[in-house]
Amino acid sequence: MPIVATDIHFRLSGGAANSNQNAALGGAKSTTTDASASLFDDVTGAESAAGDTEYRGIYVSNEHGTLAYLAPRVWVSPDTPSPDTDADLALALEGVNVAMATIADENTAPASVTFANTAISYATGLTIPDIPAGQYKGVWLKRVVNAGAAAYADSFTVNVQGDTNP
Amino acid sequence: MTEAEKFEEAQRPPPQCEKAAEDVLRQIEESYNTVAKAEGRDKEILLDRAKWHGIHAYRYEILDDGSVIALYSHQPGELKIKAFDDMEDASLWSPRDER
Repeated sequence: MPIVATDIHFRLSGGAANSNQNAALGGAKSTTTDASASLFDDVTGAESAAGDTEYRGIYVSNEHGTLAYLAPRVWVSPDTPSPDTDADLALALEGVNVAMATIADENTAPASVTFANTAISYATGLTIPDIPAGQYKGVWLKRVVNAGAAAYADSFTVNVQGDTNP
Repeated sequence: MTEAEKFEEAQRPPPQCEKAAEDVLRQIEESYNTVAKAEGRDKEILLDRAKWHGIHAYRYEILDDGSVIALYSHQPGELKIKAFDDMEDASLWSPRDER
């Protein structure tokens, strides 16, 4: 049976038992929690006044029993509607099935990963190497809120799509 | 003067970061190709992004003395270097600040 959507999950980083989105700062893949809920916390008035830059690490996890997830791509869509915010993506430095490095806190960037801001659809997404069955690949997200950003019902969604053998 | 400041002044990547610099240049070229080839709604979104934030690729590298450089680019073939005291300092920055 080919890979179907329910075989592919976004998992938090932060350790095998982590279920806290705010603690998804790299490290081992969580086996308990999908990263499909809000990855970033709300921006407070003080944070938007001063500007706020935060980072999260998540995994694309292929949980099919036998088949590899072929040439998956990851992107952000819909994009942040506010002109005062932006989301950048980077593939983790570590290879497939290797835990991402851990960052000191949510305001500290991961070193040695290349961020880009043009991954907004499948056609423009960042290409991940094939992910064998039961394995995963790390992705870093960076959310930027400009100083003085106006209040906004803002959000963005991370997507992944790949191919499968029958 | 920190290691990072020396490389910012020279606007040349450290020898150990040459592959990192190549990766930034590869990514910015890929991003521009992406924008050039995009159609319809993708094109609109990317042009909005370019207007609001610029198109950019970048990464942070920690040097031997703990100082940090950002290798960044807004244009294919053009690499820039910015120095920071440490990663905490660097993490608040992005190339949209340099437009």
